[in-house]
Amino acid sequence: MFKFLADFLPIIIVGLSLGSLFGLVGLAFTVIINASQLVNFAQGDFAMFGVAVCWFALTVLNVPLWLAFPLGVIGAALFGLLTEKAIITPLQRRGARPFTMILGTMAIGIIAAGAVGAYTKFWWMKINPFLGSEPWKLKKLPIDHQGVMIIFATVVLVIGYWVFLNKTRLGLALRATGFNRDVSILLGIQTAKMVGLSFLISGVISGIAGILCAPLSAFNAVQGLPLAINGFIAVILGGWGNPYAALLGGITLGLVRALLTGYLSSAYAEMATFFVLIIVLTLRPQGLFSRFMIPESKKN
Amino acid sequence: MKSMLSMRRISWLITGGFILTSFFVHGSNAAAAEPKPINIGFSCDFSGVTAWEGNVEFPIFEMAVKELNAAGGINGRPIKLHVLDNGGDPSKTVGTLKVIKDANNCVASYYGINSASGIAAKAWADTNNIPIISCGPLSDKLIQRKGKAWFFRSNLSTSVGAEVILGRIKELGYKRVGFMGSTQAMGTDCLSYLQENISKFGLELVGSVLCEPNSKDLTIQAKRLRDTNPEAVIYSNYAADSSVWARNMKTLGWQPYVTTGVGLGLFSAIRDITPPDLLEGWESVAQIDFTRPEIKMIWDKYAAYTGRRSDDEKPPRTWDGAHLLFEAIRLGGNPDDPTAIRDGFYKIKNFPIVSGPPGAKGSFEIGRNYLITPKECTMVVIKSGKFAMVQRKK
Repeated sequence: MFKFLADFLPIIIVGLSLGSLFGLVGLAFTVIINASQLVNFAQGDFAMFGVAVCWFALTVLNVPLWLAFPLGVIGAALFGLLTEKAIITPLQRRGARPFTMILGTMAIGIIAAGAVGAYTKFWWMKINPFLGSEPWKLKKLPIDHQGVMIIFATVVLVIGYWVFLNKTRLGLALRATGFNRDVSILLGIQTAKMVGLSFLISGVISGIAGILCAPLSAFNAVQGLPLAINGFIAVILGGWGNPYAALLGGITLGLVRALLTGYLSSAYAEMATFFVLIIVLTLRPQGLFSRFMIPESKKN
Repeated sequence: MKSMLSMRRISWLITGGFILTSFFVHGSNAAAAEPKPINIGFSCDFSGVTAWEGNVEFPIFEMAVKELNAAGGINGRPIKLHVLDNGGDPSKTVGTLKVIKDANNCVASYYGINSASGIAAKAWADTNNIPIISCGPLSDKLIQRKGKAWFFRSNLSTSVGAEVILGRIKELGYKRVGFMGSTQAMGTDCLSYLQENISKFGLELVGSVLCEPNSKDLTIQAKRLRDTNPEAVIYSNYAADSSVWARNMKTLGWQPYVTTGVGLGLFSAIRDITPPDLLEGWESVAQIDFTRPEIKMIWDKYAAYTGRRSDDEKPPRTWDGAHLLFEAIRLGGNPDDPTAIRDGFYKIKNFPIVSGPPGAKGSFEIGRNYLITPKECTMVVIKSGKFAMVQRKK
């Protein structure tokens, strides 16, 4: 039994922690999709920018982690807001097509990666594991505490997001904007501000995801894109427009990759990701968990 | 009076004409006297995943060119560098080389860093007959065993590094060897070499794992390799993934002898981004000897030129690459002929290099288009976060 746990537990923890990471980025994508019907191709760069600000605070300003972490998250959130103010709002006022706005988000992401890269010379922004290098031990079974922290943070973030959406007036306004923009305007909801809020929230979620995963492997200016790709796949796998489905899609993706790596080879993990995506798009294009936590009234 | 005015006008005309003629003649003479530059391309990763290496190699190469030009150039002709970013992408690399040849009329080029783009650069050089010197890519696919090459390297090749570390493992008395590497050329080349040659060293390859670039966690791979019970582990991977590997080995409480043939450039990056306690005792092959004064000189020059330090083998090997190119141009006899420059590389014999042990000399031969052989290699170990030379048995 111990041997089974010793073999299986690392796979589950790795799968859940990686999956939580992808799920968080997927959740961040969905927040913006629901408010503005746009895909934000700078999503991974929001995470990267959060890491950059946190790293800068730690290494250049020499502030402790408990201060650098929230500074990084604020940095990512402000970058999100800047994206909305500099790209989305002006283009919307000019009546630009959604595709143009999506290209605009891609451009600002590339600019951010280039700017951070120019400052850091594309060197890694090293952030040490929050609780040191020694792993936890559960009856001699080693546990990677950074991975556990990612899982815990994901649970807290998702609960917090649910409470915000369902128990606050601002959350209700955000949900209304995503549900029916025109009616929301008629009801007096300032939908433009709701879009700005969605970018801000998305920045917060991406920033937290980025900073939590930076100690797992060194982050540099170009690492935002791989994170964004996996997050986007999580959205497709889980279900378009459903934030909880995106999270479950990410966890599914993480577990599939971990199981393949554990029992076959990691050389297949990347290929398997896209293989699973093709299967889901073919057999269940609405996503595996599209109806998860959707109110009855919206299920038709 | 009238005649005096005319005389004055005439003299002004003559003076003005004389001045104008002087400028014209001087300008022509100046143009005629200015030597025609030797155009050299520089296609490197200034953006993308390996940009951190390109941003070290360029200042060194530029510094070497400036010093050469200040000393009179090659046969009185200065080198003019044409610099382009290839982003670490093979197709962009070929694109930059085309511009270097067609638009900039370059007779030779530098290429850095990664093997995938290096392979593309080599194929382009072979087709377009432009000699290229490189200081970064590790892949054995860049080795040309037959005929004269157009692509040369001043860094070590995967098989050279692997040969050195297998010798070291044997020296330490280990028999069972495990391997962790990238799914890219750096890892697969090394694994192929080990599979074909490890038995010649009296060693056994008991297990191997490959991992995708940018892996966030390698616990599962580390566990699989640990379960094959190797005494020594060879890894051949990029810096970020190697850092993850170190962390996950620690998570499992597994601390075998660990070594790598990727060279000090990558090894120092791994050291810089990984908590030092995770790398204690790790060794790497290197192509420099820290005790040589030339190494410190180049490191200090780089620091003075750029305002930051890179105390590893990237500056010295780039320095060697630049000077080997200059020597090839000189020995080729015709700086305007790429073929003459290519042949010049093969005329280099016993050229003093800063890589290798004290007094090392460099050359290229038909069948060996890379500078560093096992006898130029050294080994370093990490002790308390710092590098130290490994004293090996002669």
